[in-house]
Amino acid sequence: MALQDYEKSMNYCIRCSHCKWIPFNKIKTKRFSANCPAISRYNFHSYSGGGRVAIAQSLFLGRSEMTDEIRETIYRCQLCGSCQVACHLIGEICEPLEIARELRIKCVEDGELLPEHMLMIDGMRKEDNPFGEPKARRGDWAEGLSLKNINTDKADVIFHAGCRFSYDADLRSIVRGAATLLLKAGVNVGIAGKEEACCGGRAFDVGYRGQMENYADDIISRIKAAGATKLVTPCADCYSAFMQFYPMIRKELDIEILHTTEYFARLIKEGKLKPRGGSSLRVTYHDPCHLGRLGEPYIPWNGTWKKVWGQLNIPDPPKQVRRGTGGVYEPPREILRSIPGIEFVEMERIREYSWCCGAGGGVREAYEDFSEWTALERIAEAKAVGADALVTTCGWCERNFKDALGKRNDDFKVYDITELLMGV
Amino acid sequence: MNDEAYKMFESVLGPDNVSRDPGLLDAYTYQWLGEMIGEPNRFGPFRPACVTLPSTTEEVQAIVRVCNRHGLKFKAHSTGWGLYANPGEEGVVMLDLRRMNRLIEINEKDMYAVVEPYVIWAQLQAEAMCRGLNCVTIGAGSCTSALANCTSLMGTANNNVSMGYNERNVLGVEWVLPDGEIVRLGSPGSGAGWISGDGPGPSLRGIMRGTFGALGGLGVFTKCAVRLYQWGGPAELPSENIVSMDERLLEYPENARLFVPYFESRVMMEEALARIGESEVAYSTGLLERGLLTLGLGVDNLNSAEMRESLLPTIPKNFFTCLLVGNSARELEYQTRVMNQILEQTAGRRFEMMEQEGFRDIITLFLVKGGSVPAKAVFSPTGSFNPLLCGFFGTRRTLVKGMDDAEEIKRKYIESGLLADDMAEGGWSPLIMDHGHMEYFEHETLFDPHVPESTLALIMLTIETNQSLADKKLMIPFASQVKVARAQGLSVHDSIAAHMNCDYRTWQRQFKQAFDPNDAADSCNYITPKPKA
Ligand SMILES: Cc1cc2nc3c(=O)[nH]c(=O)nc-3n(C[C@H](O)[C@H](O)[C@H](O)COP(=O)(O)OP(=O)(O)OC[C@H]3O[C@@H](n4cnc5c(N)ncnc54)[C@H](O)[C@@H]3O)c2cc1C
Ligand code: SF4
Ligand code: SF4
Repeated sequence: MALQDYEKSMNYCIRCSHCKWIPFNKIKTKRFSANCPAISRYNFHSYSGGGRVAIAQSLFLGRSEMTDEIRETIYRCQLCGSCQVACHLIGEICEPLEIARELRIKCVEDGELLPEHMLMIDGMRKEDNPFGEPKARRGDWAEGLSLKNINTDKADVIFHAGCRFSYDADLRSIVRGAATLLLKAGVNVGIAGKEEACCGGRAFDVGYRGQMENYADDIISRIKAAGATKLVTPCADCYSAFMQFYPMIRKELDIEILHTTEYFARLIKEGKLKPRGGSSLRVTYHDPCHLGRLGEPYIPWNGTWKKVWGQLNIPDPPKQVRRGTGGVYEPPREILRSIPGIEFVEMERIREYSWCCGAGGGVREAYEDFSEWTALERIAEAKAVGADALVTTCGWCERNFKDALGKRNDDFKVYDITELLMGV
Repeated sequence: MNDEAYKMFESVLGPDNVSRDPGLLDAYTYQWLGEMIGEPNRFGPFRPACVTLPSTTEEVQAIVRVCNRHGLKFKAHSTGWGLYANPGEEGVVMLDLRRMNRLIEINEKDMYAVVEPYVIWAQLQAEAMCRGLNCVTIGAGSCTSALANCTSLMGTANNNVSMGYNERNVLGVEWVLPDGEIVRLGSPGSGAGWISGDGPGPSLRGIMRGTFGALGGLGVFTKCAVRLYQWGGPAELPSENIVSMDERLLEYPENARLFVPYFESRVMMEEALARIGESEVAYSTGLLERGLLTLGLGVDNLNSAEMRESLLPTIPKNFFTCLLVGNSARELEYQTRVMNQILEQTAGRRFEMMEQEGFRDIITLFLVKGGSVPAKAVFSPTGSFNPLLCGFFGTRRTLVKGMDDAEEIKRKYIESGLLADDMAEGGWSPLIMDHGHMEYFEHETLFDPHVPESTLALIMLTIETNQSLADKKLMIPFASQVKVARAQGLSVHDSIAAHMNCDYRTWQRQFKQAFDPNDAADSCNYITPKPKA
């Protein structure tokens, strides 16, 4: 796809500003009514979903040219997709999220790059991960766990750890815990170890589509060779890449894809996993964008719009309207409700209209202050509902929350759901 | 633009809060109904000279003064939806009031809230409802500014029947005049709090906004008090699902009841409405004619197309919705008895399908909150709409004449295939204003902004309808006329005044000249200080 493929879409923004708010009927307080980190922080309309559509249309029509200010605007956005959920409450042709992403692809094609993103891509090209950490050490996290090696053995389940969990020492207990829980439940699980590569989702998010295509091909061939039936990942980012991005670029993984929370919830229902529980704790749950609205399976469409009833626009054949409603929302909640000692309370912005943690879209790498500010907004929301801890299910979210808190010497707790299952 | 002025803006606001980047400015040029006055790609004809983001009244004042000093025009917007918010000529400095977003006070005892421009209705309502209060959230939906609506543009809403037109709901006001002077209207003008718009202290309500508002042509409103009303319903209306017909209330409020009556004729329907207004039992009333309802409420356009095909024939023509909200079970029973009696007297029957779960929930949410449903109904099908009769405040019987007239004229445009086929039954409206002394109706017309012939059909239809109203000595609806006047390069009031009993422009111009000696406030939707050539 390219900007010109969104030519129709770019004509149908109505400048209504729905993309700046959570669905109106869900607003509980003024304080937590906004949905878009970018417009909330930078204020010019151009930072909102609708503003991005206008920028794209302006560039596309040659009314304006790329400038430093516009490039900054394009990259100061987590591509969290909240704008599109809200937008699709009032229409279906305009696709602010896809257009915001296409703007980045255009930037990369035109050489309008950010040095921080180039560094990340460089790391991927050399070591297959965005941090540039040695590829040879990717599987270190699993040492001593007696997991199968899918490069040599057959396994029912491929466990894809993802870059963040593979290299972030602080998060190691989570990824090891997740694999351990699967083993305890009797799952025949294997990993690719040092042969595992990045999913490429982060590259796609900053505009490097080709980079992700390579990774998709790599994973597809690995899955074929392993003969597995399920691909399970603890990383919401990877999950979203498999469910959303790969079909978007017409790469299909011919396997059942599960986030660990989905699999754990299933195993709990089947009685194969018993949540341990620990001390009593009042927790709230942060829906990672990539597991929620961006984890909604993507259904490719190659149709056209036709007219019925005079000027009513309808897609032919039918087209998915992406509102995030098909994301993973219940399994993590089911798990939390099943853990002894846990009192679960909801925040105001949840599910499809959850507020982003701030880490996505290359923002963590290029605009640290914006990324942190976004995380702190979420933490404030968690505190406002009286939670002792914020629980999430994505390594990137957890890292970002922890860093934002750490800088302020705030000891508010952040957990991965796996940690609670293991009994913190 | 003038570099010196730009530097002054930067020094007042900080460089992060002002921009003249062409691409960024295009985000302020792209607009709903840009297609009516500009290009089919939604860009209006005029890109602003720069955009400023003030955060205080003093910053607004400083920007206005710089504009006056440098001969620049300025225009403020709050949330900035619609061509009214865009510049009317080249070189205009925009004040985007987004950073002025404080809900300064909710005074529960005296029942008002003090807000800045970027507090939207949905926020104000959520904060009011949990305190047992409520406000008039308008039909545009909850995403527009409460202040802009109260001070500068319209004020029609489903719940006007219980809480009045928003022209009356604005109390104290803080106003930066077009020359930079700050005035406070009503009680704040004499340091007596925000409770009254008309004194002690100056009362300029008529000049400040009149019936429709000055649409930015008379300076910048920076704070206002909005009247709140008693709310007998629950603190929240929790729902599951987020999309249109899928949304369900978790629990239907026990003190609320939805009536959806239908009638043999419009005259009988109007009679029932008038009696409902007089009896003061309704919380909210709304017309959603069957053409618009079916085309607009599907979960997606395909679903709407199906509803238009199969559901429409089962819906009666003359129906409206009416929500009762009692402060107690006894009050609700009383309201119900009164409603039943009115329906008996006017031969109204109840359309049960709409009173049952499904329709009931989304209609209730829509009648209380607005939400996204109205915007979805008018924008999703074709990408754009414009109401005929927008601003048509009728008295008994004139409303019916206006409705009949618009329907008849629209039918032939529908036949051309250039508009959405709603069978010329696209009405949306609150119907009753202020307990029935006034009635209100709009006829939404859906067209495709990317199809120039469709936009042209809309323009021609609006012109023809307004001419027909003028010929019948009925009111020309301001908010419909302002857009076609701009599409034709006319000044709106010049195109209306000729049909009125008196030439009100003489006074209006004198006010404009007195309040705006340097003609700095962009008046493209208001009156120009001198007649346009
Ligand atoms: C789709 C749609 C449907 C609508 N339906 C209704 C309806 O049912 N009932 C109704 O009453 N209105 C309706 N309106 C108009 C509505 O009144 C305004 O859109 C809204 O209330 C004003 O808020 P805003 O934030 O959109 O204003 P903006 O779009 O920001 O501004 C509207 C006008 O007011 C001026 N203005 C805004 N803020 C200020 C300020 N602080 N000082 C001076 N001038 C200012 C602007 O210059 C502009 O001319 C509708 C508008 C749209 C786009
Ligand atoms: S992107 Fe969608 S929600 Fe945002 S202004 Fe445009 S139409 Fe409205
Ligand atoms: S993707 Fe997220 S950050 Fe970017 S514009 Fe949309 S809501 Fe805002």
